[in-house]
Amino acid sequence: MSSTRPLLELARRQMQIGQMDGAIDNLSAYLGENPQDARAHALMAMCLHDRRRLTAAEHEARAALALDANDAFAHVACGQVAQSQRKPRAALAHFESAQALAPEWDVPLRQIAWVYLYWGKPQQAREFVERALALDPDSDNRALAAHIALDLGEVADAERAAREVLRQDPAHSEALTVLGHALLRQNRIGEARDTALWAVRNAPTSRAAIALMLAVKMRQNPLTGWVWRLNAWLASGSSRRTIVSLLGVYLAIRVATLLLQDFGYAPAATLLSYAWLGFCVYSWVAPVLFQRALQRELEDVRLGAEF
Amino acid sequence: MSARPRYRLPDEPRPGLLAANASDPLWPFLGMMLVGTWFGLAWFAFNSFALGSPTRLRELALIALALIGSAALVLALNDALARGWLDEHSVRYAVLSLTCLRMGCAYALSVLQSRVFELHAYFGGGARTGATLLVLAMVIVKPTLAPLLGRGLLGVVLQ
Repeated sequence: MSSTRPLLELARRQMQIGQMDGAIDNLSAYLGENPQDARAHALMAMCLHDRRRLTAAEHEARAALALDANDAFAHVACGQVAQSQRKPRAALAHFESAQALAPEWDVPLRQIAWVYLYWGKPQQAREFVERALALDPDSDNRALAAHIALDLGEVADAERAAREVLRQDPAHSEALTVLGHALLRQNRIGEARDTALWAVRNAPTSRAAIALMLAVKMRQNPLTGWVWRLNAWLASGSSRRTIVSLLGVYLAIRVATLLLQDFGYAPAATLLSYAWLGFCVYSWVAPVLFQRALQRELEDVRLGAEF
Repeated sequence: MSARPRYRLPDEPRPGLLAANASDPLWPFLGMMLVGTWFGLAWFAFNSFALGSPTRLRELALIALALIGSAALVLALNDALARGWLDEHSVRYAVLSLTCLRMGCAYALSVLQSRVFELHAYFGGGARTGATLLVLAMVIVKPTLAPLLGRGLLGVVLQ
């Protein structure tokens, strides 16, 4: 084991700086000689998950847990895979097990907060991220707290928290994307564009960074800018609020059309109906076409596997 | 170094037939508006299974609410007309409640499935654009099936 031990350490360092392909390579070499190392299997699961190889990641996470059912790290790996397999209950169960096994470790609590945030429950997510912050006020926990604040519509707080993280870690990917979205919501488009460029330069393959760049480009485009504003307004809050708002707008238009007909303004009613139809078609089609065009443009930015 | 045993990782399987035919919930939503309630709801139900949605029960409950709620509203409106509580003029406004119920359910289904679809597509679960199916349904299925549904309770609820 001693001759391969440096491979494991190298893989850990590669994971920390996002070189997942290199880490997978070194972990494969390490596991070839040490197939009973649960922690190495868990690390491999995390790398494979990052590279979107879910089946292999699940295989590795299960192997880690089979070798050591009391390893909190293995439970976190299993939880990450379960979350991506759209099994939030299983993910929560694994993260809770990890938390029970390592009560002083903040990562399981942060992962629980992620699960709640992803499934549209930011209030519950905040509860867990605050517990994680109490254990370790590190950049990742504070960036997630900023993200949650943004989801809850607390834009100024989100910006402040993201800037605090960036003061200590100027390349923190999540803090950069939260800051970019917070600036965009405040119509500070120039600053948001600079932040998005910085985020994409730091992590050219990051989905969140690319999504931020898409949002900035969409907001800047005169054709889609107002659709973005409407979407941002509708999305800032719970999904129930979004649904009620959309229904309210529809109902108002339909009632207005009927009232115009009843009071003898049939041409105006027809005009309103067509305007509404045009709005609906445009708000569906324009952003989709725009995003596809831009996504193709951004897909050209790819790093070699050996990077 | 090359003599060392190499650890083998399993290959990623291709997405199954069901998963490969999942689509963005925007398409069933448009299908509900442009083809008919039955078409959109059936597509949402298929998508729920194809995506392996963790909120499947809630989605199926919303589909049931759209159908049963529509039937109840149609019966209530019909009864109100028969009793003279509504006239032909005011019933046009009351019918909006039916559209709102269906649209509310469609929006809710769309919101529930969009998060699941995002994960599904990101991890290479396979996805199909629904444009072709939607156009075919508008051009062929709707004109063929709409007259068969009739203008009775079933026809009004499903169209």
